[in-house]
Amino acid sequence: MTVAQVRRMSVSDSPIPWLLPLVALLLVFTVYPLIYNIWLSFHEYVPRRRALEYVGLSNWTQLWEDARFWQSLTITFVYFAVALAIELALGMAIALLLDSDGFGFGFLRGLLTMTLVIPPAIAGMMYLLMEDPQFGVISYFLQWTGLLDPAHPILATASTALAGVLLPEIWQWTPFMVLIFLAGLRALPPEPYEAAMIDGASQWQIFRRITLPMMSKVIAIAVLIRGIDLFRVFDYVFVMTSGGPGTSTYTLSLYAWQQTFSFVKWGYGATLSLVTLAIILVVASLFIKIAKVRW
Amino acid sequence: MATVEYRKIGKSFGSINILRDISFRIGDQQFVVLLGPSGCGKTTLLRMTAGLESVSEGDLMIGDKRVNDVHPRDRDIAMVFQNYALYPTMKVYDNIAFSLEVAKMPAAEIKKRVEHAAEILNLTDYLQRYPKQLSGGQRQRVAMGRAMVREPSVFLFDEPLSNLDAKLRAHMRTEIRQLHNRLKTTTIYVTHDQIEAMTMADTIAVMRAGKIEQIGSPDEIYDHPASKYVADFVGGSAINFLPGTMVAGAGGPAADTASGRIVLNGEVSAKPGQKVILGLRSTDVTVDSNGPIAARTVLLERLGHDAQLFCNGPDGQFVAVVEKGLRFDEGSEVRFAIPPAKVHVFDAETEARL
Ligand SMILES: Nc1ncnc2c1ncn2[C@@H]1O[C@H](COP(=O)(O)OP(=O)(O)OP(=O)(O)O)[C@@H](O)[C@H]1O
Ligand SMILES: [Mg+2]
Repeated sequence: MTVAQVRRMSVSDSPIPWLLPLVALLLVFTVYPLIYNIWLSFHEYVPRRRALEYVGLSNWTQLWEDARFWQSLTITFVYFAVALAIELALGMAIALLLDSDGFGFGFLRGLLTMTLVIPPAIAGMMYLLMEDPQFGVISYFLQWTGLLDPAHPILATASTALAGVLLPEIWQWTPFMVLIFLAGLRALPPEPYEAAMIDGASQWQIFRRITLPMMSKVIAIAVLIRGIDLFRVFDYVFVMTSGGPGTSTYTLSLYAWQQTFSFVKWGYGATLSLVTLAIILVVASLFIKIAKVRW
Repeated sequence: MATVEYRKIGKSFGSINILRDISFRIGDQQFVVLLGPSGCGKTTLLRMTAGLESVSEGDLMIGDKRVNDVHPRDRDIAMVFQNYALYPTMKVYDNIAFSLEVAKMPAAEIKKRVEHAAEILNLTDYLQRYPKQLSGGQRQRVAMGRAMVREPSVFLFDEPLSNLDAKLRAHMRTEIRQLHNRLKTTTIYVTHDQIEAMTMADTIAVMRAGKIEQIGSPDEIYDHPASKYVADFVGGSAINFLPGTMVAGAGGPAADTASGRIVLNGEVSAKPGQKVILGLRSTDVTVDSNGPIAARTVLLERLGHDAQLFCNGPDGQFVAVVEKGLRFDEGSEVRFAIPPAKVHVFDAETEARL
């Protein structure tokens, strides 16, 4: 391309020169892997021959009978629902508290970004230490209050391990919700609040009837962004429990990882990740439709 | 039912002083109009009364209670906001019903009240719409409806009819007055519309740059304006101001102006030689070939039932409201007369009534 051509393109009204680089990136890094993954889901690696072999639909039919698949799907849903509910409620509560022009509130809002700069795997390691039955501060505190039996460490007990993994998740991502909600709250017009006060509404009535409806779009976006992320949860479980004890914290993506990299079942691993993708796509599109999210 | 009393009320935003030394009392069941030009602090005073703006100085009393620090929710007032302040996520019906719903009124009673208000306000067809689907005037009527369904102890209206067409405005004026006659609720009504002030008010408070200039009944304000400012601001038609000097005439006090000698009412307390400003309402002057004021015609403007005659006199423009049928040649000299009792005399320096 000559300089003149580049110059002409850089002032072009046509969308094509602007979209081309992005489209190329998408093709190489998203579309190709996706198609390859779909192709892979109809094949399986055969170690004996050190090659991929066509297996037809067997990976897909296997899903139905795979109890571990259903278990990991259930665990993923529980993780998703609990984390999303707590992050939403807690995020909104904290955002409402911080939505003030008072002295120091700007600083507090700034502090919120702190947890977000920590890589999730590191946050997982931190909590792994804090939940350690011998010297972890959380375990110590829970044992001191009598809520935790020292004989049953948090992460080594099937009934509490998932809760243990949810701790760093909630600690790290609630501030993200707070930030989104604060951005929304700060942008709300003051007039309806003045009118509502004059109309005699209580704080709770104002929140229910004025704030929540005006925030619904923002909340929907937050649910969407966090929801998709939650469904792919990997780092915390990988670092903290590796799916254990037993298979009690195996999420879908961890299970797909295990099939692919530990058991070298590339085809089945690909199938599992495609199912994850499909579930996210269906649920997210339904949600967008129901919640009337506009982009 | 309540009285509202302002005791030496002042308001500053930071270092900027907006209201100063506001002191007056609004009796129970009174309909008070706050009249004043844009930016004089009417909305600010109303918002302070509602509790939406803090009181910087003085005491604000509703009933016998000092309410400076009382939450808006607990003041039992209804307000129509200048910018409407509708609830954007609620339909018109819920906008109007909201205050009743939060007060846990039975649904049937709410429905009755909302529909009644909607009928008065011509909003029946719009109850299921969202505010953003309404025109400015329709929104204003929703804001009005939100106040009308309530039975508060004080009504606050901030230019509630500013966005309506002339006919609807006249209709709403009578509706609001009737509402007041029925409920007898103490009302503070902000406007810069002369006719609204004159027709609706029991008492008019004329404001000027953060202060109350004059308080009185519409007739008092119109017939005895306390200052040149009030005379100028109140009264739908133009007023002529002629600078002059007092002289002791044979038949009582008079003033010499560049346009001629004008005889004044005997009650005027000004000494001969004092510099004054005479206020002559255009509706009070009459065409009279023996009249003292001479001017040359410039333009005749038809107003429907009468006409405004613009003239050029020694003191600049002179306006008179004349009969529609009269004809004048442009540039011809016309003489005007005015009854002495109708001439308002103000001190040239203080601009206060003499
Ligand atoms: N929040 C504020 N901060 C600083 N100044 C303000 C604020 N609100 C109002 N003012 C100023 O106070 C003065 C009075 O404002 P106000 O809204 O009470 O006027 P108004 O009489 O209602 O005028 P209008 O007839 O145009 O509605 C104006 O000069 C305005 O600029
Ligand atoms: Mg105003």
